[in-house]
Amino acid sequence: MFMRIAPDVPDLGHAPLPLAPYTCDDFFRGERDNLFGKVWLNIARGCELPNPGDFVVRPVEIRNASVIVARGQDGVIRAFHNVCSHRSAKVEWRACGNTRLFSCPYHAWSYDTQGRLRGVPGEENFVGLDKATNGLTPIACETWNDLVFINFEREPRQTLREYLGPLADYADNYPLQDFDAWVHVDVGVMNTNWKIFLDAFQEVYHLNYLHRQTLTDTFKWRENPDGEPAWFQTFGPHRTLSLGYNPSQGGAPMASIAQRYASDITSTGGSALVNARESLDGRRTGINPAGIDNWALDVTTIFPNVVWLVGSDSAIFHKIWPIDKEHTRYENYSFYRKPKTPSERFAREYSFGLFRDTIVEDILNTEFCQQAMKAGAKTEFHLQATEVSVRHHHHHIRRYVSGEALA
Amino acid sequence: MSAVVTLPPAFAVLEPFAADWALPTSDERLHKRMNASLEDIQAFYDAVLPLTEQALAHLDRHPLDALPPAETRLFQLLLAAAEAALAIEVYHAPRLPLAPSNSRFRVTHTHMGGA
Repeated sequence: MFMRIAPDVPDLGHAPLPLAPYTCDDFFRGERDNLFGKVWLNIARGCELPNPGDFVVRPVEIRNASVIVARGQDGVIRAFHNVCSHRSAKVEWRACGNTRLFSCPYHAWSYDTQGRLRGVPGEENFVGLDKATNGLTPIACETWNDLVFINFEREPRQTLREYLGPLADYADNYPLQDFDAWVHVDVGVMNTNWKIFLDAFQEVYHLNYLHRQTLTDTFKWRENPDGEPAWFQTFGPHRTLSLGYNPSQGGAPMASIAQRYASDITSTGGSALVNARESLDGRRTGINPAGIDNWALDVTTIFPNVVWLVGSDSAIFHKIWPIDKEHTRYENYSFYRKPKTPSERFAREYSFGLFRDTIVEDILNTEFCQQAMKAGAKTEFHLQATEVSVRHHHHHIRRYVSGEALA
Repeated sequence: MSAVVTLPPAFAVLEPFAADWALPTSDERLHKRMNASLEDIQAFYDAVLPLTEQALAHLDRHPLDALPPAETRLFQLLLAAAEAALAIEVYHAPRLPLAPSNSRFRVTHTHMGGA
């Protein structure tokens, strides 16, 4: 095996795993209550909310929640349930914007961006209404490296920093705040369990096969003919796989022009990639944990539902939101430094296009997997050694669902 | 009366392609590529490739967020050429066999500047 495993990674065995967690109602209820109801979930980026009054509204279907994330007039980012204190109407219906007040369309109760109840039409007709205790219901909200997280526990058992643990220490200096331009791909609702889809983004075994027309020869080379990851490392329930690129892959004409102006995770060379890497190396920036010369990117899972493709000058976030046991909402954000020139913007278009076409190849495949699992032909699934990331994911989900991780 | 926008004079040879390919959004350019024949994509690619570096150099004389109308048309044409290049150089097909219909996903480019 080409892949090396960090010495402190626990031995998770090699046995087949049960398929029931993909199809079982009880297991999904356990995920809803003991996992998505208890841990920190990445909901936004600080760069989406640069100014006081900026807000986004995001659904978290597995918790039946609509969440307002807003930067208050005091500059602090907060999260609230998007629910009016009067009769539980949905207060803010826009997906994003800038406002001084959130005004409920039902009876025009209004709240400021810090969640305080400000206006109640016909207030004198309410007997004993205490405006001070009837603001928007807050949701615990903390930020790490410009990533905004929420936690649905009223009093979370861990701070965000404690939850991220060694992952935060490892990647504290990754310059995510510099990557404040983005492309967003909205795939919407998929007919698959959230884990089937997430599993596809955290192993690289399938890249040479399912993606043979998009990532041909990109991540394999003479010493690594099967295109294995170079390194696997865990950080509590979080994890990273590190990938190298094929140093001798010949660039096609347009690809070569593009790679001169900007690199991306699918770049396999070019001066832009080398320059971007040199700006990050040696600063404890959460990249290239094995220190390989032909480092391409790391696939870092922020448990439970975000896969972060950590590049030298791009950061891509797959965000995978369970709806019910067989429906999932999927979107991704590719974050870059804001292009300074048309040529740099052109280069992004090329590499983004290749990335987009690659990820949509996973849609129909994973939907078929879900359908097949429901057919009941199989009761378990097999994982090879480099799919250890999937095994690690399922291990930690089981620890939450069983309550062991919460004890 | 608004003037018809054409490409900058140095790139007039690409004008026959501009009406079809100089499209303002990423989704529109992708849909154009996915629904074109490989022969049409090849013809577009072959026409643009030799002028790409010259065109980028021309565009780089302008700020990304303040391209004049003719340059905007050229820029959109180059972004479409990036799509065409994927079909010609990488996939050897207008669309990938495993790719779902382009109605299954939507791209927003609003935070990247330019087109």
